[in-house]
Amino acid sequence: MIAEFFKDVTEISGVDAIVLFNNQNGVIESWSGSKYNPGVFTEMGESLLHIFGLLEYLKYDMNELVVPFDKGLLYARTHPKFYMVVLAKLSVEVPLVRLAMNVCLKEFEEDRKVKKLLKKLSDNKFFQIKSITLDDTEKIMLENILEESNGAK
Amino acid sequence: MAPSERSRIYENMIFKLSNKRSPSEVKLRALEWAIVTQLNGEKSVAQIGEILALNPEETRAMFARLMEEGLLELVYAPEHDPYVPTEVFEELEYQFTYAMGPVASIILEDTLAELKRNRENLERRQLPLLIEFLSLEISSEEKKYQFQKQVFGKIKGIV
Repeated sequence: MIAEFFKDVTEISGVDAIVLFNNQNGVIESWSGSKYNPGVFTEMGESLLHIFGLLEYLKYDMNELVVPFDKGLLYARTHPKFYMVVLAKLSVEVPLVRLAMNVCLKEFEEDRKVKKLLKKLSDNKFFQIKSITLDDTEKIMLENILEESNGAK
Repeated sequence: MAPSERSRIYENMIFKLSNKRSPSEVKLRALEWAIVTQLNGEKSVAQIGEILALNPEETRAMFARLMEEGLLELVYAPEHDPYVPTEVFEELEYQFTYAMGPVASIILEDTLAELKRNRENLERRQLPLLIEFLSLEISSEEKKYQFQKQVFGKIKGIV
């Protein structure tokens, strides 16, 4: 799927890997130009699930994240049914990745087979966060954020 | 290289250490020293930036400083023009007018001015950012997508 629908992203010079996750932090598919340990994807996906889950719960209008990763950067994009990660070298222009993703994602979502697949996927991220995966600091931070959010309501 | 051009460092340029001046004669910061240690006449500016985990802007700024101090000697400069060709602007303006109507060319010029660029000196790597800024002006999601799709098809070979 990635090679078919996200060819324009994989062809950007400096893009090393693309990973498509479902909302349970499962890797639906990955494409990698250079060698990556699959364990890296799962750990990375878990952190992003926490972030996107919280953004979703707080109804923040934010659908992407760009952070430094290893010696490059990580561009993550969320969708109600999944989230995607692009690992790239620092020399890659983020607006170019974003532009390519905008174009590719629309074609991906509109494909008949993909629509069928998306129907089967859960559309919740926040309640997929497993408390066992959070350390004490994260738990306290999460409690504080949720208390503030509930207080504001 | 004329003084005004010295600061024009492109990612695929290759430099080596000049034998006219020693780095020890100049007060350098740690990262500038790190760049000096990487210079071998084979690695490009972008490659050195990646090795040192610097962003492209930082890398260019530090190379420009080293150049101004006379520590670098150019080994290779790219043959192709680093700037966006005029015909790309014509296509961009056409597609943007299709989405925005007659105000498109004014918005295009204003956006270029915000980037402190014009049609003659916009670097290829800045083109996606220009397209992103122009897209923000299009309120219809469908028109925005069509604009990005058409324009991306035209620029992917040149950025």
